[in-house]
Amino acid sequence: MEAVTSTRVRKIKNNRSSDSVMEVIIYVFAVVFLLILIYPLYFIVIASFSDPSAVAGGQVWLYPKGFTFDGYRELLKHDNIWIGYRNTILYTVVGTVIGLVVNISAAYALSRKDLVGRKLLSLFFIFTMFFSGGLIPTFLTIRDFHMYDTFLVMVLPFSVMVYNMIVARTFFQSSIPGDLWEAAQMDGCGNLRYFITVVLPLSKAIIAVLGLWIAVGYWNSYFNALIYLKNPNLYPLQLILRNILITNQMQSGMGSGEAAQIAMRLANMMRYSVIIVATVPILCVYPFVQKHFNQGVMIGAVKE
Amino acid sequence: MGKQPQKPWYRIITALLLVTALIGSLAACSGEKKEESSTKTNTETETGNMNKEGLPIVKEPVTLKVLTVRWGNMGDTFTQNQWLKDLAKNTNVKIDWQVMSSNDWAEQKSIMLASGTLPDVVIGNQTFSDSDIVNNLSYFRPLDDYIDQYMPNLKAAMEETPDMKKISTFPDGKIYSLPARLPSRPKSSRQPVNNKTWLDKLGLKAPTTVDELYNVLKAFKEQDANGNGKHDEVPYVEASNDMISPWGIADLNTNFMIIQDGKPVYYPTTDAYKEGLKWESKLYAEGLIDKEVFTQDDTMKMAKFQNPDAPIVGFTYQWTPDAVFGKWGDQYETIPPIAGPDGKRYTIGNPVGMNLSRNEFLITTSNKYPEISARWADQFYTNEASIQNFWGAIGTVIQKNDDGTYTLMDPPAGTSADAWYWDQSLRDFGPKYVSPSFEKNIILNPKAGDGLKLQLDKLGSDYVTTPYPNVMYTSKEFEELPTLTTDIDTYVNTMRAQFITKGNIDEGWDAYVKQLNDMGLEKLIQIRTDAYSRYTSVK
Amino acid sequence: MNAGRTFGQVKRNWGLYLLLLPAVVLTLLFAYKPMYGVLIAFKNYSPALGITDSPWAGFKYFEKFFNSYQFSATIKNTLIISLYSLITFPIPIILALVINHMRANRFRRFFQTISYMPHFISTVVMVGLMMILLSPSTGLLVNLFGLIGKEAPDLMGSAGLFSSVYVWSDVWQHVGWDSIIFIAALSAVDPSLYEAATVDGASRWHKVRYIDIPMLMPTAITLLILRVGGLLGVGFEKVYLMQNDLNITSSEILSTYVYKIGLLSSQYSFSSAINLFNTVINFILLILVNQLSKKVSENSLW
Repeated sequence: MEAVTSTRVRKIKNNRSSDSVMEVIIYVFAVVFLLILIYPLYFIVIASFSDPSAVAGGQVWLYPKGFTFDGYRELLKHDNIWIGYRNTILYTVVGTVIGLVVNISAAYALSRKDLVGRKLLSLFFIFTMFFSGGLIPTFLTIRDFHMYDTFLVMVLPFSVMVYNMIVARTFFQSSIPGDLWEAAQMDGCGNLRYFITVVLPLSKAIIAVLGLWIAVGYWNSYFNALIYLKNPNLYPLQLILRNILITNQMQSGMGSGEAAQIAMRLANMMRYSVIIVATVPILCVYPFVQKHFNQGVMIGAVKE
Repeated sequence: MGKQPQKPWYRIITALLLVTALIGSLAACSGEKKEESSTKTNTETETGNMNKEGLPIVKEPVTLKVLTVRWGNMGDTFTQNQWLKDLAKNTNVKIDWQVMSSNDWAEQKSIMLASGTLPDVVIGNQTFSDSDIVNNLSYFRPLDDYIDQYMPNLKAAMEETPDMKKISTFPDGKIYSLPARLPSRPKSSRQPVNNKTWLDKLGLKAPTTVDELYNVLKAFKEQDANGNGKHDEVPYVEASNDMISPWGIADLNTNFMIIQDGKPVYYPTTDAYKEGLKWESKLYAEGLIDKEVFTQDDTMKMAKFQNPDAPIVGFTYQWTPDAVFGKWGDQYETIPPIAGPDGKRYTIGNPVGMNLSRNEFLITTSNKYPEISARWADQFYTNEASIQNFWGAIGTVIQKNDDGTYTLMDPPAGTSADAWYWDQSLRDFGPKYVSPSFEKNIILNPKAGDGLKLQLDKLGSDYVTTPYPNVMYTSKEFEELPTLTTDIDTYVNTMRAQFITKGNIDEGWDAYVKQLNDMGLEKLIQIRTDAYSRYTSVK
Repeated sequence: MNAGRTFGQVKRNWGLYLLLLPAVVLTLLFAYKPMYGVLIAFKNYSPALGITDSPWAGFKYFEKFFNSYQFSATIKNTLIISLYSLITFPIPIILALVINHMRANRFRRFFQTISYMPHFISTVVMVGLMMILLSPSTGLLVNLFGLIGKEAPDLMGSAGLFSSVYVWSDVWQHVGWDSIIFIAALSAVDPSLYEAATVDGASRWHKVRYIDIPMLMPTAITLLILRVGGLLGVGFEKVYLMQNDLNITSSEILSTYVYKIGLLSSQYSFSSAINLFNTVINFILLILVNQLSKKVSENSLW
């Protein structure tokens, strides 16, 4: 008994020292990695306050050169940016709520081994990831449903996201213990009530991840807006920014017209401020999400 | 639970799904048919409401849906042009503008064509290209009869300038799109521009031959031409493939074709091209050509032209130097074309002037009022209408003087002239006709923009070479053309980059030509030659 | 076990079918209904005639693609890039494990936040940034190489290095983002397991090996299967923006080629045929990998 404990203690001690080696490795790795990650981000920030020619000419390194707020000032001159902000926030909030409801509930159902037809239903969804009718028939379908150029087209038709659904299904399979359902069943709890009162509270981490994915997806998307919207008052932020930023076709199409040169100069000026203006709001969402998967969501429920 | 007994349920569910999918697709098909039949019944016309001549065009107001595409985020401010407003008032034809951005247009266009959701009228030659029209002819009305009956202004213009008709005649002999002739356009495209301050400092003269050019570039590189003590000079920055023009290769429409002795020639396999490449390769090897010529984007190029600390570019080809170089603009001057090894000079451009374009106005088959639309379009084909749609309305942008001349007003403070014109008018796009005789009544400021270009044009206009024109292809040719040009053009560009950066031109040349032939070069040349002879034979 | 019992099972679990209903209806309406559109690949599609009335072309467009000069080159380039990026698949997992084992909570949160930020840089700006930083005459790289007195390679203008530049810049941009799902999966580990392991004298490495990795396996394998299923689907935008005349021999991939041909003239049928080919290959790969995974690890998509 005595001997056993002492070897155990020694083992723990040994492991402590190998642990601290690992600790050091982890932090060294983390710091190097952090530097590689941070520099380009830092570059974007200083570039947004610099003379665009100095940036493109490779003269901006450690601090802004030709310090200026022009990039931001110019950006704020476009008043349709505010409309874009409003629309994007609406699409993101409504789209994320719909997306979460649709995908999480379907994913849970698919995760249950006692669901008859489970395999076929999974295939039913997965098939659409790889096989689609293409843009034109999809457009015709949307048009036939009178959804072309409406708010609805931005949040509903593409809210089934099979990839997210599969990830959530995997999570439910591996993280929700099967005996919980059996216990609940004994108590006479139905599927829906069980899902809402037991499964969802246990699944904060996956809801947080999916919510983040869907929200960021909506925040960054412009393609559906490009195809299915024609009223500029419905345009999301990214589409408006895109039109301000892309000038190369203009350049080649207009000869070396002055107007093209000016548009290009302005676009260069706004190149980096646009990233900051368009990204900061969605970045702010992250801390709220992050806390949900920091640790151990499971303990309480299992012990009860 | 075993796996076996579940099978029947699988089958039933499969069957159900199949049925649902089938119903879905049937519904889709029937929906599509309805759409078509409705467009077909739309063709009835309203001639009762229309006056055959004079204004207003219609007794009761009619609204047309008009689609046009603008660059970037220019928006629809041009619709406030006073001339357009007056036109609506005088003709009783109201316009419901649908203004798209060129950035979104490629995707939106294919959806629009593929789903058949078209407006009544389409304006501007960047809206639908030749192939869009040729491949979808059934969407657009042939306009020959309308021109004859309802468009006296355009008819007169086509008689005065026969090329107007020539460029808009499609391979089946009909006119589906209307042309434009712009005012005050130069003959030469990009012209050589060099840094005068550097030349003066180094005691050199502006280069006139390729050998002199080589020496000048060399001096720029080696003698610290901008005098900042750094080795940062970039002797030549390429805007497009212009450096080879002294070898007689002046390719205006970048389709790798030139006209020699009245015949179309595919030049990337010619000896002249090979010699030119060798020269460029030598320049590159000696660091006289921008090192990043093949990897940079427009932003980086612009950063070189407008380098904040000191000018670093010595020589380039530009439309006009004023806007390109930012604060260094004063140092640069446009010079006459560089003479080639054969002693001759060549300028990219068009000896008849770069002022004609087609596909500026289309009437769709879903348009219920084609006659009214034609009469409306004809209002654009007078001289005064055209200049107002090119710069801006008389009274806001153009000043009409008592002696019958026209001058342009100054733009509001803080706005550039060109940007102001784009703001105020359809500018490059839309139907227009300015007759050659009327053009001399237009007086432009020779210091900037269009006026400056006309001044600089004189340096090169005598040497402008006839380009391979904007020919028209048949739908059959359009089936093969994209694949051929995608493969061949990509390969030619790649090899050009390799030959210039790595040399070995003599060694690699035969393999290069052979590869091109394997890719179907013969077929491509055949298509281009056929199209050219069709183009020249239109009467 | 018989049909009756299965029926009972269905009846008992009606709530689950209700949960599935919205997703099934939306998928039927917006994914399955438009699928008749694949017919375009087998027809001489003319928009004016519509899909049903356009004349049949059979396999004409498939043959055209297989016989095209670019066929083998684009497939090869696509495969090289996607296999290369497949190799980087474990990196986000490693990152998640590292983050999970950071003890300083504040540093950990900061690290995590920073690591996912590059994900938000749009492709256009990302490629612009690469051009500036990797420029052979003025970029950051040139200065770094200058420090050790060597000449910097022209990363953007080299055909041989194209796939490396593409893949590693992608890793840089998305590794933090991709690790989020693994961090979330690790959060489901019952902390009492770690406690028990510590009491048993397990080292850090052992905890990673016997607790963390098994926990990540299902998610990792699921994502890997999906990734293999998308092998031919290398995204178009970034490659297209990175292309130039010097690297085009390795940077012309399926999607950029289709885009160029499709854009030059609206060749709907031809691009549909290439897309369909792509889809079929991907689907076959998916089925193969899924079967394999079922045998080896009991994880499968269906």
